[in-house]
Amino acid sequence: MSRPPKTNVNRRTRNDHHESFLRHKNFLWLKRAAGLSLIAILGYALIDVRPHPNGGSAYGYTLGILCTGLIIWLMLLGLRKRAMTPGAWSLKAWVSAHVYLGLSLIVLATLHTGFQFGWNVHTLAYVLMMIVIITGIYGVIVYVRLPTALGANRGEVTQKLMVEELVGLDRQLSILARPLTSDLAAIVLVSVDPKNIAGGVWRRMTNQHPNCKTRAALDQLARAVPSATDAPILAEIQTLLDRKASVLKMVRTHIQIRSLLVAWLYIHVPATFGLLAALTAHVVSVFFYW
Amino acid sequence: MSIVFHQTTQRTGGSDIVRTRIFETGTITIGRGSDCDIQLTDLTTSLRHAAIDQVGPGEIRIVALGPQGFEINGRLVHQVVINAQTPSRISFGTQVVTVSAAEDPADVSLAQVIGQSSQGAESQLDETTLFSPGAGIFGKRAMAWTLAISVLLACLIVPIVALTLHAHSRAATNKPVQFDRQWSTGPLSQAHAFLDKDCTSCHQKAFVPVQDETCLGCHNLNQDKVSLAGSLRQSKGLGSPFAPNLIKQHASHDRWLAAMPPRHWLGASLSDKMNRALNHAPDGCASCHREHVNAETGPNKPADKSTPRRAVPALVQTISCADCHANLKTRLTDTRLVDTPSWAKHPQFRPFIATQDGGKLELKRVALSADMRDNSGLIFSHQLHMMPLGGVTRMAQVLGRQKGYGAALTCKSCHEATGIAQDMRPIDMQRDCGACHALNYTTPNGTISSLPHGDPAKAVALLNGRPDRPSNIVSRLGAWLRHRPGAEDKLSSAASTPPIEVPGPGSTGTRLAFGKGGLCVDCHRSNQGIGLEPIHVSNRTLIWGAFNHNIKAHSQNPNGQANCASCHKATLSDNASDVLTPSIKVCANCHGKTKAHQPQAASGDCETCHGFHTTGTLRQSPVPIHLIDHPPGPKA
Repeated sequence: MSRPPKTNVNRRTRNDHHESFLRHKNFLWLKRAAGLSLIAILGYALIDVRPHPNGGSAYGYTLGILCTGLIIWLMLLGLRKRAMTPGAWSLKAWVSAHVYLGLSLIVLATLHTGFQFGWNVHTLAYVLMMIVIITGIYGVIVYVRLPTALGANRGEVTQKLMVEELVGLDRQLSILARPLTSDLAAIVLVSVDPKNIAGGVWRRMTNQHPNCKTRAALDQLARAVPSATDAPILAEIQTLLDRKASVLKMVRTHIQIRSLLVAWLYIHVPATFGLLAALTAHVVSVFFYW
Repeated sequence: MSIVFHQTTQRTGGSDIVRTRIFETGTITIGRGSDCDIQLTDLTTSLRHAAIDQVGPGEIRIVALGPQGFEINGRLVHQVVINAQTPSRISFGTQVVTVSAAEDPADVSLAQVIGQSSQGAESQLDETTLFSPGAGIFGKRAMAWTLAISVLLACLIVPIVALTLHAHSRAATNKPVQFDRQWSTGPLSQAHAFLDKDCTSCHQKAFVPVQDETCLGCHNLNQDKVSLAGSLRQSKGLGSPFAPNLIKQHASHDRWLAAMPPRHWLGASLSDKMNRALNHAPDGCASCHREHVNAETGPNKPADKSTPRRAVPALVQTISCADCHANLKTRLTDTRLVDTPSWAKHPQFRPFIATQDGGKLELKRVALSADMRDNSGLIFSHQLHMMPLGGVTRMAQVLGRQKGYGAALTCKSCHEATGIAQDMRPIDMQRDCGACHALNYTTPNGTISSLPHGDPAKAVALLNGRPDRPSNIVSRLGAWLRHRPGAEDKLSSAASTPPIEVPGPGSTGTRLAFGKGGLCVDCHRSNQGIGLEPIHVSNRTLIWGAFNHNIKAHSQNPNGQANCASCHKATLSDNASDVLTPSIKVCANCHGKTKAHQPQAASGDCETCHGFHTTGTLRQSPVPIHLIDHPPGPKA
């Protein structure tokens, strides 16, 4: 008696069709955010607020309450992303809503201001909000574009492998250089400075390394006049330095892409908290001097 | 006597490897070279860096073999003798050798540890540090906290603390730095610009909207003179460079709110509910007069960049006049005002005249009609005086141009615009009538004297031969008032005077003047005896409107000629009791029309004639300070 083949009903099926957070559910949140913005624009156009449209009118209060609620909800992404769950409120859905509702704030908050700006705490909150949104737009762009560049640069090489490669090359260089005279050893010593790999924020972002010490070591090596004993060692060192230069190129490109991928967060997140503080000051001051 | 060398190689997983070598005699070399007794891996050291000799029991000497020295306990030296009883730390580049006493006091122990830190600089590479994009700058969290706390401090906490500290004193001089200035949502108008330095002059209580009492503290007209002086002092104390614009409330707030129609359509209803929830009263001063509003800009209204302020607070009409007045009686059942839904349905004028309704003579508003009579107590025929071929014209010709006449009388011969507000100059008997109606008489000694007009007591005294009667004539002609000459410029006294009674049987002269056929009764009604009827003349007939005779379109026709006759049918009036106030239809010939129908078309807006706060005057009176006492009017 043959038994029917056992089927694994709990087996997870892999969805090979990747849908980005931007296209989530056929742009559901784009449509919702656009609808919200259109309703707000329509209300702004139809409601005649005198003498100017402003945040202190009934419609202005409505928009203000809506914007405040949205800002607080958008901030909650920071908490939400630390708890991944599937389903309708998956992190992807949340990020999609975060992006599109965040963009709709440009419309809602600008209408709330009534296009009236000045050197005051209210405009400060608006400016901080716009900084958050603009950096967010940058973040979306790099999240869409840069991961491909990151993969193309490093291939199958992991970060751990990159470090091991560099450490290994430096160790070999150090060992090779031990028998050399101090002058020649100094050339190798120049290239094994770990602080010279990535550099500061600017060098990481631009990937410009005019003071690359490996390149300098190679240049010094070309000019060196070694003794007969040292010459074969120097030839080996040159090979290793060439190899290190090519690894460094990949590592530095990797660092640049990674920096560009997350650098915006160093403005986006602090500006968000600055915005929360300015928003608090805005709301409290408006009602303090009602 | 020997040197014991321990070399410990640290391993990641523990169980370090320790190698021990004993150098009995001779010199030990230390350096990077493979021929050295103690080998260093640091490329900064020399191939042969130093030599170590034992110079005595427990004592060694270290001598640098090249220009590079070494450090002993942090001090750079080229040669040193060390007693092993005192542990020492000798650094060759990044690598360290410690010197200490061995088990045998005569020996010296050297120890070198080769671990993670001494493997070479390359081992310091850390994956996390290397690939962390935030390396070299603040962490996100630190920046977030710094920014948030800075903003909260600068924009909220410091201003509130400063306000609390200065709560006891409102004087701007006590506020060298105005921390709350950043809370201002826009510039104050030029009228209130002096309050810029002190927000609390208007925002007196935190989290409470600006109250009407605050505005009325300076602007309330319904005050006695003492409190008025206090208001002026207060506004001056706040730094106002000018006197406040004084206003009356349109109506009491309870009646005002009752008169307002509820707004049923969804948007307005929601808006009203929200405003009430947020404590914005629909009848508050600030509901119409908005401060902190930017100056209007646009192609026709370029903003003055030096002072981007409005001249006065922005006026927002939250409700139209017709909204309340269209069906006012349905909401205010006791009102005496006639419902006025629009200019087209404006009720007929009701001039304020002396009427004798049921025998009692009183000054009141009466609906304009053809048979209405103004019982002023005067006798005068406009027709007679303006007839081109009449005796009056002949008199004027005789008087000649040098006396201001020379031809038939016109309206302007007696009535002249004052140039102030909307009124005509009051008639002055001696100036306007005296050229013909002289009050001259011959005294007993044969000289010609003139009776004073407006002071019957003095006139009687003169006629009775007692010229020393004290006079109480006060001749102050108010710009707004038309009154019996000589009386106080208050409507109550000007509008109604007591009958003029001549005491006793009177002299012949008195009878001739005040009696039937006498001098006075040419113009005054006789009271059937020796005396005159009282005078009842209102200073203005349309007391709740603000007709302005000074407007060119009102006083001249398109050819620039006076056109009083287009409104006032004076040439057809032969009796002073005729009411010459024109019908509202005359106004409607221009007001409310379009230019297509009427070249002189003008606005039909309520405020063209009725000021909201100063009903009966223009909305913006040219008079700088509005200390106008209106006649008692009907209850709103």
